[in-house]
Amino acid sequence: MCTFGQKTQELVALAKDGDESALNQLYRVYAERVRWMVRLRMGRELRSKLESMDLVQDTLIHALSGLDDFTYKDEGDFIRWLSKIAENELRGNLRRLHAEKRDVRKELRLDNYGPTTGDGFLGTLGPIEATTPSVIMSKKEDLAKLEKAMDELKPEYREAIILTKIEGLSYEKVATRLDKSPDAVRMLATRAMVALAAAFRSI
Amino acid sequence: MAGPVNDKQENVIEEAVRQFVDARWQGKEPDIDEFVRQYPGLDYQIRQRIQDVQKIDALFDSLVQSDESDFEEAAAGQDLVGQKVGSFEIVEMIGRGGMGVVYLARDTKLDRSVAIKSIPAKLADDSTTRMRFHREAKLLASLNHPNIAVIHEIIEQDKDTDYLVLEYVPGESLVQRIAREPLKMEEALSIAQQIAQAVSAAHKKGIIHRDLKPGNIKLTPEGRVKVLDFGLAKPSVSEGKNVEITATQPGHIIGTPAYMSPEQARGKDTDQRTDI
Repeated sequence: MCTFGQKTQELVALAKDGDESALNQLYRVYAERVRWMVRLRMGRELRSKLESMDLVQDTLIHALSGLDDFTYKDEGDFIRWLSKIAENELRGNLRRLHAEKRDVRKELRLDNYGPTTGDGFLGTLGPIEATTPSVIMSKKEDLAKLEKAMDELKPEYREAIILTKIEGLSYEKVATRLDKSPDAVRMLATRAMVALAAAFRSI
Repeated sequence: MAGPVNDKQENVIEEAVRQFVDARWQGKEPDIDEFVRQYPGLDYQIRQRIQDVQKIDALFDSLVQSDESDFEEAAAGQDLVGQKVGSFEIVEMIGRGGMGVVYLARDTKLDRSVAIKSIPAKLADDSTTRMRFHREAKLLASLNHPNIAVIHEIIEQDKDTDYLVLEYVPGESLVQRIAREPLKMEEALSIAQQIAQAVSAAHKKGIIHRDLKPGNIKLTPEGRVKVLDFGLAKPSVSEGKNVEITATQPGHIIGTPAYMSPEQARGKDTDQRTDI
């Protein structure tokens, strides 16, 4: 798969130089992936709010416009960077939305226009919705199931899956982060995976 | 199929699966047949669980790894953004339908927004696609209904590329609307009624939509419903006998799987009933 990683790297380089079409291509390849990454990480409660706003598109556009700060290492690294930014921004938006009193009109406006874009996406049929046969779209149902299965996990298993499988950290890094031994993390992560598989099956 | 397992067996299964996962994540490639043989009586369950784990692992992988088709998809139709087609300036790509790419464009003569649909370059020389495209234009033009997006123009820019200039419908799609908050009964009824009127008007002219789904239904800010994307439409067999042969290849399945009718999914002939 590394050749496609190279393709991404090329596009990132072009996009950094201000190539609009490269930016658009990156968006189209990664938007749906980022959306799922963010959803899987957020958990049930935040996700339900996310659904009523669906700001992932806007935040992603914004994240891509910040490419200058990004140094390309590999494809996984790139998408994790994107999803992290998108997630942070979403959380910020949710906080703001919460801070403004729950005025129905405000919520509508935010929903329709999004806080971070120009009028480019105003009310248009978003690209995410387009009927594309891309690989990630074909996995939609399974990803939705996975999302539910993640909710069933106990918090420490959930965290272990997020750190190892979604953020792609090594056992050593997770160990430092959680203040555990690498062997303990390995045990935790593999148990979490077994539990996740069981939850996945029962849904 | 093996029977239910007791707690003790469940523990054995879980630990076995865990060890298998552990070995795989270490980069080893344990042989699954050989592995499950160590657990006679539980081998079926263990194999099943391992397959679930592998499926989930693959799902996580697919999130962080793109593949070739994604880039092909993304590259198709990119070249038009920023360019002009006739008197229309292409602003951005806003979607991809069953057979073409859809752009938002600015009509510089009349100073309004329009939607422009083109056939991706790689399909432009496919005569079937082209035929279907022309048919769509004619079908749409013959449908004059407030709940169906209208066609403004067809542009034959050069010998092998055509563009449909369509009414641009602002607002949310029904998908977005439902995701935002549940529909009130009154609203749902109004939407359903308008869709029914649009579809019924089309059916009276012998035109079937064949890809009717929430993603193809838009709600304008004024609360009017517009049915989009008659891209898959064809005259129905019973009423379109005098019309030329159907543009879709026989046995060639078109539509969105989640919303297809059974006869459509089987690649059989469809009639009005497929829309309902």
